[in-house]
Amino acid sequence: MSKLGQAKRIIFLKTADGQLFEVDEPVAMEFEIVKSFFDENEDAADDTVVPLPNVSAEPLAGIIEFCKAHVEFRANGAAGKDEVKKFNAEYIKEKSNEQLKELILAANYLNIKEMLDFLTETIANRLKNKSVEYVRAFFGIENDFTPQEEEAVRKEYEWAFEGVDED
Amino acid sequence: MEEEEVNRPLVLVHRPPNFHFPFRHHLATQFNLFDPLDSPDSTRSSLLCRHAHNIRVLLCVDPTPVSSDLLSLLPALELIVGSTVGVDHIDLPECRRRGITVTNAGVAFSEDVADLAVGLLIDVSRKISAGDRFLRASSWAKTGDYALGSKLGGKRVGMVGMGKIGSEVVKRLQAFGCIISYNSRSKKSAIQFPYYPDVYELAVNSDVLVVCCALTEETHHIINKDVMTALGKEGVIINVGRGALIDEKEMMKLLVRGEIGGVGLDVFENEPHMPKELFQLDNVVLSPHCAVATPECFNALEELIVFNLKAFFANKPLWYCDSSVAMYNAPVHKLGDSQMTLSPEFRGEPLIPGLPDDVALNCLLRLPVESHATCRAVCKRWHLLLRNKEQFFTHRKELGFRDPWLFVFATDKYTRKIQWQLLDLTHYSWHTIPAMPCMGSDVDCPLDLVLKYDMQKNRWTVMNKMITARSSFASGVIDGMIYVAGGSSSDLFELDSAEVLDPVKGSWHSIANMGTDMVAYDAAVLNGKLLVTEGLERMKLRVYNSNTDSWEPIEGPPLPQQICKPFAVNAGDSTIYVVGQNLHVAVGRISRLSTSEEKWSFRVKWHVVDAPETFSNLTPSSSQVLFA
Repeated sequence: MSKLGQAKRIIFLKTADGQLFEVDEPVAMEFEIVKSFFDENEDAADDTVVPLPNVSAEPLAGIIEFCKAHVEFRANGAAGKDEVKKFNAEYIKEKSNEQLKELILAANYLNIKEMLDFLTETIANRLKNKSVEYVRAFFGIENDFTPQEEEAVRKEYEWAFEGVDED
Repeated sequence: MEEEEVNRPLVLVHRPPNFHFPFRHHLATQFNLFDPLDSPDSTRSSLLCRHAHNIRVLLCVDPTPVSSDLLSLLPALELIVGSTVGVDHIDLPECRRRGITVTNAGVAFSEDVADLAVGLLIDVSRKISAGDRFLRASSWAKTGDYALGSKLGGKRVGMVGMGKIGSEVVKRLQAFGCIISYNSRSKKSAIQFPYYPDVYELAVNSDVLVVCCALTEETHHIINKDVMTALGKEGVIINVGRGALIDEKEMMKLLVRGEIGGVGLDVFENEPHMPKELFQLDNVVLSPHCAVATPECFNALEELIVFNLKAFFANKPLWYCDSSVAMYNAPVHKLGDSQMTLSPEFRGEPLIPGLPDDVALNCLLRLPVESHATCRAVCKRWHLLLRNKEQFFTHRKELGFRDPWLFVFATDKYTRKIQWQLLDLTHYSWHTIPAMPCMGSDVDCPLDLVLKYDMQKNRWTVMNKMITARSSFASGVIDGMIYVAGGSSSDLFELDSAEVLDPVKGSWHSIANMGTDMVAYDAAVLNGKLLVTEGLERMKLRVYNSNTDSWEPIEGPPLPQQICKPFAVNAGDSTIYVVGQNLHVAVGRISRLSTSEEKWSFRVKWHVVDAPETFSNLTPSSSQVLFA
């Protein structure tokens, strides 16, 4: 087979809600779980559909967008440059906290380290300089301190409650 | 069928006759359970045929065989929810062909199975059951001393199978001081223990084999005569996987001849039958395939099954589904493995609702230290996690975080007191660490004392002394070696000498002199080269090449004006950090223009991090970048 004549290989992925995605091979190989599937099944047919029963279509679409851009950055030698930072900031800006959580769950299952690092870092950054109440609301965490306990904990670190951002 | 039942999703129950699973009643309130065994024998197959086109889910209770014959009766089947860890009773190639997803229950069981594996190993090594029999037979008074046991710590344990159960076993055995290595279908990049692609090689290098892999065609009798012989006369085998993983006949021969040290078995080839000879042997500990038999385990199993059934009918992602089980029968272990395991343990709240605890931890361990105080007050589990820096950094180490922190050694210009300040180079926020012990308050007093700060322990320890006592000297780290250069000596002479510490051996030795006496140096390491600057006067730079043991002069770029003398310089990962008066920091991203080894030229882009006002009295004297 001539290299020139070789078409780009497409990987088929099927989500939990039954949607079929066609993804360029280099992008799909960013997903460790898909990569190991093909590593261990070298004889897998080209039209094999890889089921992703833990991922829905919406986050998968978002993940493909992110990985595609990063694969291109690497190919252009732009990795680690400002361009990448700009893309990442734009990418995450419009995402709600719920979407962010879904992306994290999916990236975790697909085992995409670079993206997971970026997403978890984003969560940490969104919590910077925020009040206790904001953090609780952000994550839907129930306050399990008794009022007395909470007062004691807050007193311990009183200075930290000054200068937080307006929620 | 009753009216109400029709509205609930249909689930086919596939179970052994005479076995009613404990949470059936609870499941029946949420799902329409269709159990052919409830009907008389004669009507079963026609009943199944009538409902077959509606059956999308099969709940497989216990290792009840799911054959291709059964599968062919169920054309609409999409999901098999297994209630066991192993799924060797399910025709996986057929499921793969049909695109049927198979879930197993490994996550609900692994901790309990690991507990039993460790229990069996301790029992075999320390002869607990045998000692119990010894006493019950009143042998102590008659025959006196009892045989010696064998210590668990220091044993080389070879894991055959490194899935969820395997990693739980390892977690426990590490605490006993065992030395771990493993065999599995493929090397796992996330696991740092030595990997043996061949079980025989693993056995040669182990004192104990813990068998906890899935039973497949490839792993049938994986522990054969050769492997057992390689393990040797003192060797111990623990099996909590499946009986047929060990060649039982060969094992019996070797045990009877004393050619293996002992075995602890929870599973057998032909359960509930087992070779009678086992009962005669004191170096054998037996357990009736009960590794998962705890109420906690059944609760977790119920939770897992209900979750997966609900998720399936709601078209939502399954909580735990090893698609590899469905697809190619090779357990691939992922970060998300602990999604279920933590829940039975902390039946209370997760760290972050909606995220598995390991992922939540991954987020929280990235919190800048300045946000810790606020976040501690969020809830009890966060308080526990962020309570102190020691714990925080220990957790970070466990999860393999390595972010840079700039340690700045500074003097207060009024009190002359010295202190360390830390700049988090990811978030550019400052925090403090405990004061060093036993250092004088005067920064100008030369010392030969070297102290080690451990980020994980948040404390200082004393290292070996330097050859020459110095003050205001430069230092840097290359390939794990600490280099110091210049400074003032005890008699206030300026020094041109330099020396190096191997932190592992704790020993110092001298390296080439710089050729010029220089005081108040500071140093930065960049691309394996030690850069030394004159800190008080003009920016004089020298570079030390550790490969050739030589010093070269070098040209440097101008600094932003906010950064006032004296400087403390450090670098890492193509970035140079210059700490100036009042601890304002200039961060310069450096790209090397020249490729020549001798001459370096830089292009630098500066970015200034302002220090809080409270630092306005501080003068930096040294800085270090560390990863934690």
